[in-house]
Amino acid sequence: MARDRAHQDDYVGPLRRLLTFVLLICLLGLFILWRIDSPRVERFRAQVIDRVMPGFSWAMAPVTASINLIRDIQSYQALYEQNQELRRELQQMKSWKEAALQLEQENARLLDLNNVRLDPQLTYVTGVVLADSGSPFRQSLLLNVGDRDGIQDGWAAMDGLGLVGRISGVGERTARVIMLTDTSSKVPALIQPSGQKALVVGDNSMVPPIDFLEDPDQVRPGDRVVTSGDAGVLPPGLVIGQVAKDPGGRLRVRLSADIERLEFLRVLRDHGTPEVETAGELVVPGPAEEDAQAAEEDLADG
Amino acid sequence: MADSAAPRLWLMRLTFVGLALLTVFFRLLPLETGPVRWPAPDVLLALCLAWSLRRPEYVPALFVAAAILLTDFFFQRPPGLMAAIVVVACGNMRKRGPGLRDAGFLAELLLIGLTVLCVVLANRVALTVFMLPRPPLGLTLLQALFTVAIYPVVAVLSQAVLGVRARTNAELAAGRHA
Repeated sequence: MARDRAHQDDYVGPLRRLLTFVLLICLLGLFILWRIDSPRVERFRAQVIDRVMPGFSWAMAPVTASINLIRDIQSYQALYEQNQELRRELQQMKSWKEAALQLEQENARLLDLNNVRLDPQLTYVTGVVLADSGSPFRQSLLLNVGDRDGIQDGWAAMDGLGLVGRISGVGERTARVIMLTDTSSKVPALIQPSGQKALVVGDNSMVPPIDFLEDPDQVRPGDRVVTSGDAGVLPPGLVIGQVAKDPGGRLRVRLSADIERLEFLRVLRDHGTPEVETAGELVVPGPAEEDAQAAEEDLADG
Repeated sequence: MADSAAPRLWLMRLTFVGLALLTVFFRLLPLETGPVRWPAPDVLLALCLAWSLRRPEYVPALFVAAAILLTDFFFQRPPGLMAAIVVVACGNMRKRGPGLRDAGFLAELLLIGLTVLCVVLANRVALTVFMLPRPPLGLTLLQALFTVAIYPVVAVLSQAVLGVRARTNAELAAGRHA
């Protein structure tokens, strides 16, 4: 028996080593394939997530809800103060609401006067945040909308207030959003009212810094930061946040979106602005005008 | 040798797969969507190492590879790289297991600490060599530290709840002469 076992070990050991070796080759092969042909493997990644995610999602909602419930119970202790504070804030909000309504009416009137046509293609699809699939180092989310809802790579994702990130990776039923705070996110932005162009660069912090600013002196904390739409990356004019200065004197953006607690995201449909590619052609009278001229001549003759 | 009878063996292997999926599940919960200040420990890595050190037959390399590859896909890491590194690390644990059997827990923790550090550094070196973006060094080291810190918990829980403990020399001798 003892000899048997030893014999078996002799036989199993090299075989296992061989299999492990083959496994390693496969894994490293996958890695190198990913390095060479990233889009193909990324598509495969989206498919894997698309396949595995529904298995998780049925359990995910209740667990998330109960954990949030427990957290909320902890905050019940400060309920009374919170209530008072909310009442005060509500009072202020009411006056703001009044002001907002008046402004809205005024804005509508002015738009009407100017005959402005808003972009009809800027509609949105709203998705539920399925999972926070980032790690401490990557900031990304999974949404429950995907290819079947017509989502495409590169579209902007917003919560009710501001930009959160953009779509990068679309599966059949899920899509991934790379957040503004991710280190690989760089968004061209416009700072109002000075009109300076800059990049909002993610660095894994809550307040991404502003980079490539032409003239930092013209920018003040509190200025509005919106997308500039440069390079067709995102549609122009989406609110990102406000400028803030960190203790080191570096300009950063305090995001309008509440990125710590995201439940729903709007994905803006954006089919891009068509580019003007050729120079203008010679303006010649069209066939309709020629017809009209001929008719006039006929009349003159007649 | 009733312990390694086929049904129990496969039960424990399935338990491993279940635990791996559970860790992925909890990491995926959308509780904190913003950037976090403290990286969470890599429980799955600790689990793989602990089980390969104690009962390598419960965690075949294929299972480890599949589990880590899944997290590679889910957490936006280069697919395959971390899986390959962890498979090598677990193979190493498999080899070291018998020698460490009567050395005490502190020696084991030291070995795990060094291994986790090696895993993290190997990953980083590979990312550098292939010119990929690297996560900040501080966060990576902090995560390694937390992983080592969570290791005793993982080891003790697997031992107490699931009965994954190293065979003692006596047991092994008994098995050999059976």
